[in-house]
Amino acid sequence: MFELFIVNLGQLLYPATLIAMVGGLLVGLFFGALPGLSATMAVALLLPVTFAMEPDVGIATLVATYIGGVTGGLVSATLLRIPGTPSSIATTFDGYPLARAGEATKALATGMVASAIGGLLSLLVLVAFAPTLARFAIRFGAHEFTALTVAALMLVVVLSQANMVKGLLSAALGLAVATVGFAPIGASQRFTFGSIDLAAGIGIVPFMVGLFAISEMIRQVAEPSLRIKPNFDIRGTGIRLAEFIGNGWNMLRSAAIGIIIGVLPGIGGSASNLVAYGAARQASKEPESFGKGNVAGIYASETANNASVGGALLPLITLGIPGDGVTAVLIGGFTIHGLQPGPLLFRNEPDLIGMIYAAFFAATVLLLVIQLLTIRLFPRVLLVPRHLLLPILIVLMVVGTYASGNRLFEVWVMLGFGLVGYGMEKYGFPLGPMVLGFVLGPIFETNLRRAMMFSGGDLMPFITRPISAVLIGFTVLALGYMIYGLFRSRRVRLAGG
Amino acid sequence: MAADRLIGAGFFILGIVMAWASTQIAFPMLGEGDPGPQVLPLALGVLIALLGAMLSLRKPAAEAGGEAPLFDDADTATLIPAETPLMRVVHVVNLVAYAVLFERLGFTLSTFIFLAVAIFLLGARTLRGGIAAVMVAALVSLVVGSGLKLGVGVSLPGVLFG
Repeated sequence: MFELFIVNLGQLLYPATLIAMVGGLLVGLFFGALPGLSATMAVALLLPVTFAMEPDVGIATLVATYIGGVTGGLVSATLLRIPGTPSSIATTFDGYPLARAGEATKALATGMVASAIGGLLSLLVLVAFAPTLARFAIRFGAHEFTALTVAALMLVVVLSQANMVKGLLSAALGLAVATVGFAPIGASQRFTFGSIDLAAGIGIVPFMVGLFAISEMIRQVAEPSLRIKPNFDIRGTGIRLAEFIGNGWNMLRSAAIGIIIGVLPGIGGSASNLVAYGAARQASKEPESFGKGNVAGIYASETANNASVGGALLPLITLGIPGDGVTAVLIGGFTIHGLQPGPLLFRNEPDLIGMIYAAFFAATVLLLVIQLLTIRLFPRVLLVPRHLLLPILIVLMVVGTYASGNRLFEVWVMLGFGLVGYGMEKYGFPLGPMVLGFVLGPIFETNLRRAMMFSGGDLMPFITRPISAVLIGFTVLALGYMIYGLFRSRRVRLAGG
Repeated sequence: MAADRLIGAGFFILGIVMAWASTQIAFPMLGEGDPGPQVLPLALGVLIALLGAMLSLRKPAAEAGGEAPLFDDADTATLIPAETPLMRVVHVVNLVAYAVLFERLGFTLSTFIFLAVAIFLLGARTLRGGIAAVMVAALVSLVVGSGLKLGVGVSLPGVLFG
């Protein structure tokens, strides 16, 4: 696999690929930096633009956008104390105080280097462990995949939100939307109401762009939003080698936390930065300096959030199971380019796997170079006025969505899901489980029906096959934990009168 | 929370309708044990109805007293008030009109109109703001249209210079 990685790295040096990747990185950085916009939106928006590209170029661009989006949050977290994405919440704790003390360059540069280290360490783990996990996953049959999709969905519901009923409803709604159109086996039409447009099903691009991006645009108009007043007095001494070496163990620990949390569905970068920050503070000899501009906090947070990218890609490419919204969009992009993530990918498309690794590596290094070179310039994207940004983003969304199916129907679907997404978030329904339900729905249904046909309608193999039994047991445990949580909160409410 | 009760009732009805509609799906038997294409929608309909009923009937949790502001430093950000209800309606009409006119007028013209109106209404509503809105709208609709069509090969209707 390392040979393929090197070969593909050479392919990335073609000017067209390099330009597309840098474009993806910049779009990702831009979306990550601006509060309200996210890596998920960036990937969803660029998805249709990559249609016309060669598969390897398209995939490299999407991976670069993802990495740029996760890293971009650093800028606003440091300069504004407003994390551009949830992945950078912990960066605000020490990045902003450091910037206020006149060392914004040091805070930004520390975050940039830590992001690159986190990304590269997680890439190493990905390259080392993905083939082993894929070899193990080849033993998965229809029963195991059915159990795996249920377990992944349940874990997302349990871990992502406090309100379990709303989380479950959100997941069920995503699964229900995925049933519209032809059934994946047998081609029976479902919920099409005689419409030819609906017979083709709901496209992933209008669904995702509507849910994540249009809903945010609606919120920006319908609810109060922030007018940013950054302080661009960017100067300082930059990072010191002794500090960097002194934080070696901190970065290793944070990368391990980021990778492990990234592998788990539903939490990813948004939790890993906080956990790693907490661990760094606990392990520090001067925990009282955390929150007052200690660079160890920035090293921990930014290493962990970028390390969770490699963690999240592990189940994505070996099992075909996305862990969160952005990887769900990414899996849609891979599928559009003819790449079917899953255990057979290593056997059927080793070149494209090598391309993902190479793109990951190149994007991380390019990102570091671009960020360090534009450290005084790039933060000015925060000044783009809202009255220009929102309409232009909407145009890009309409164009991208239209291009995904070459029909206006997709645009209407996008606007419809924009309203749905806005309403759901307004009333406390998490969007993550809905997206995963939508993406995992066809995988779940196809494997469930295959499993039932293989076993002649017998459900017992789900608990007699060892891997499936473990996954079912895991799901039951998650469900038990969820019910326990419901009862416990009810008891607390009753006790509190 | 009253909204939860209403939303829960809505989900309950949606679930019932979905469960009933799934029983109407025609399907060929593909083999022994195949539960058919209606089993997932049926199960989902029942689940959505049950969860909707739970949401609607359960005692609402104590509200947390509104969302606490996460970042309160007035030196980095100030709050822009939401658009008035009338302006929200105008923005919706502008967006719907854009979608309706996208294929009829073509990309460049429909995008120009949408952008000019949206940028003017969201920005400073002055003569200067209007001129700036028109100029930005013209520039973006021309650059994005020809850039996507000629540069990336995206198929779009009615692109000037593309």
